[in-house]
Amino acid sequence: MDHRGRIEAKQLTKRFNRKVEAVRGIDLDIAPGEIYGLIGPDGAGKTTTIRMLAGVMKPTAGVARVNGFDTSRDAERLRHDVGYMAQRFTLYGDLSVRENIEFYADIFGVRGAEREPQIARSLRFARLEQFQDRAADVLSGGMKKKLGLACALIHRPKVLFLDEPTNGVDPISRREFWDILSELHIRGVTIFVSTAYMDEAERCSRVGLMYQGKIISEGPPASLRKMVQGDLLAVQASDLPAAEAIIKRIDQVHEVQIYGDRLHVFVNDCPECRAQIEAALKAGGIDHIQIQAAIPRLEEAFISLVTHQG
Amino acid sequence: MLKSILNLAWKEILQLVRDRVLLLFLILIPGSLLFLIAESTGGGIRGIKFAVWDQERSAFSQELITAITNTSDFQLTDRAQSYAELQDLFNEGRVGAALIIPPTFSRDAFRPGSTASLGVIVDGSNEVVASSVIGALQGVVNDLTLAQWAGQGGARPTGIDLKIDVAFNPTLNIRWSTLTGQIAIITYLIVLVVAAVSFVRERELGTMEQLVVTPISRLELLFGKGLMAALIGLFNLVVLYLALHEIFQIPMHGSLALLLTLGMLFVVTEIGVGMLISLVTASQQQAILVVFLLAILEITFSGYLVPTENMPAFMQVFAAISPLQHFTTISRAIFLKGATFTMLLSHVIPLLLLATGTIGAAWVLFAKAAD
Repeated sequence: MDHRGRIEAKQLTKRFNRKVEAVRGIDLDIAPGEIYGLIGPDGAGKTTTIRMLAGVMKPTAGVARVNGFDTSRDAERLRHDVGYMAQRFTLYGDLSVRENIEFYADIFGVRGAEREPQIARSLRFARLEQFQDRAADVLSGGMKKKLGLACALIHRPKVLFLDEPTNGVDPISRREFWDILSELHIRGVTIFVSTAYMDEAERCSRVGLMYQGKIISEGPPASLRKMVQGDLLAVQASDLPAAEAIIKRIDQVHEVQIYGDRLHVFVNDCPECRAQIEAALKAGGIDHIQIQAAIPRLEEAFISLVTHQG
Repeated sequence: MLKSILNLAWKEILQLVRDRVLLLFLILIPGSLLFLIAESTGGGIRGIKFAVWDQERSAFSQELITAITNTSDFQLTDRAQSYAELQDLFNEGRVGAALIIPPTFSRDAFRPGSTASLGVIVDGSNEVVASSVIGALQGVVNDLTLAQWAGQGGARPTGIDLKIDVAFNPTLNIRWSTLTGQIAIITYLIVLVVAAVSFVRERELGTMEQLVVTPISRLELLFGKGLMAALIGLFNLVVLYLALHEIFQIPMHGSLALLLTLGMLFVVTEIGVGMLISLVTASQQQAILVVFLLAILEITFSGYLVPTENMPAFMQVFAAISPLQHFTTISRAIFLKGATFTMLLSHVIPLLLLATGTIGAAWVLFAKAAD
């Protein structure tokens, strides 16, 4: 079997100081060419997972294989086919955009006739051609991420690991970044990306929900949405906290989330619930009531799954 | 307002207590400075080895020698029969002072109207020692003259004149011995700072994380960073040599190639020390503080300010393991005494051991840091 582009993990575990268990035995099997999104709240263990998969950190137990190479024992052989972009900016701020790319081209052994075209391609690909002489430190957050991506791609890896690549980036740059990722996806690069943004998870071919060091659910975004039990009702009302308290007391309701100016109410299959909620709210002296059926998004699905874990 | 000031102060204290290095620094520096400098300067000279070429062999000349050895400042090690013999003793570094008693010494001393002269040779490569030696000898001779006057009842010695000859640094030029020591200290500080921030800088800025996923091996990283520091060290040595020789006109009695070779051995040792600092500290700031602390200790022990021979035995142990002490001595010996490789073996061997030890330890630590 060709392992190029494949990511596998078996019972991958990381403990810090023998006590804190950041990653608690996760299994992964990611096919070549997939965009796999790892989502979860801060502290779930996403960064530790990515760092073990990219060979930055050794697992306490379990194995990870990328391109068929064990990430802790064959780390050296792994390097040439893997790109990694850490969460924070890890390039040299005092070097220019071009100097950073050149440095990574050189240490990845991109030499001779392929060096210049490859550097030019990376600059174009990351849309940084006009900024190539600018010091990396003075780039905007979005441009820094694109520079990081350009450096991580300079050796044309088969597998790319991205740790929250769009964290703290403005929405337009985020979209642009994902357009670049889509281009890579078309070229067949396996992309493993962690994110806290649910809309980004929707763009992945498969999503793993990570919570407290475990992957609690995994599947295409659509199938995860379906895992939410019951129906979702969006409730708008004059006094949301009071409305929440009232709705929570109704038997058929199993979960209430505050979502901006409305409440997301998960109810068991019950057509009469809508009327029941409306009646209860009116009895509680709440007006401006509006109730609509809603399709759960990944975000609600995630909160719901996490809540039921606890 | 007072409450927020106190809140802030409390937070600062908490942070300080958690920053072990800074805390250690704050406690250690004032204490060690006070203690070390006091200890190392207070003692004056002690047990300076000296040789005598007694051409008279009279009771009075013997009395003079006894008077000198009775002070704890001097220790008679050799009796020479010729000037050439004295010169050999100096060149081999076996004595720090020599006394030449002329054949007419006591006759001149007691004949009214004449003055006896006494030849003194001192090693001037460390002018602090040389001045102390001269001062101490002068003191012994003065006491002796007074005693003679009281004891001999009228036959008062008219005076003994010290004819001083300073070997190696004939004008007792303070600048010469300071500057030839300075070459070691400047190289030390520059190389150590560069090496000490090497890894911790990458770690602090996060760039290390990116480096470790590249095909660069840890050995390559260690050597790549070491090479940069070594080049800085070499450049520094050459520039300082040129400054000393061309601008300050200090004569170079030894071999420049030897100075640069041993200088690079010293640079490699300091790169090892610097990398160790870089691997155990958490930020560049901490690394610089450690360098600062180490520099104060090593400069104290280097013999740059105070000769190491005068320090208590336990401090001489620190001096023996201080690379700076070895290279300060080497630099002065090559410049001012024209020392050769074999003459410097007692400093070259410790430097070699220190270089291997520190680089080896840095390598082991770096390999371990991989997990």
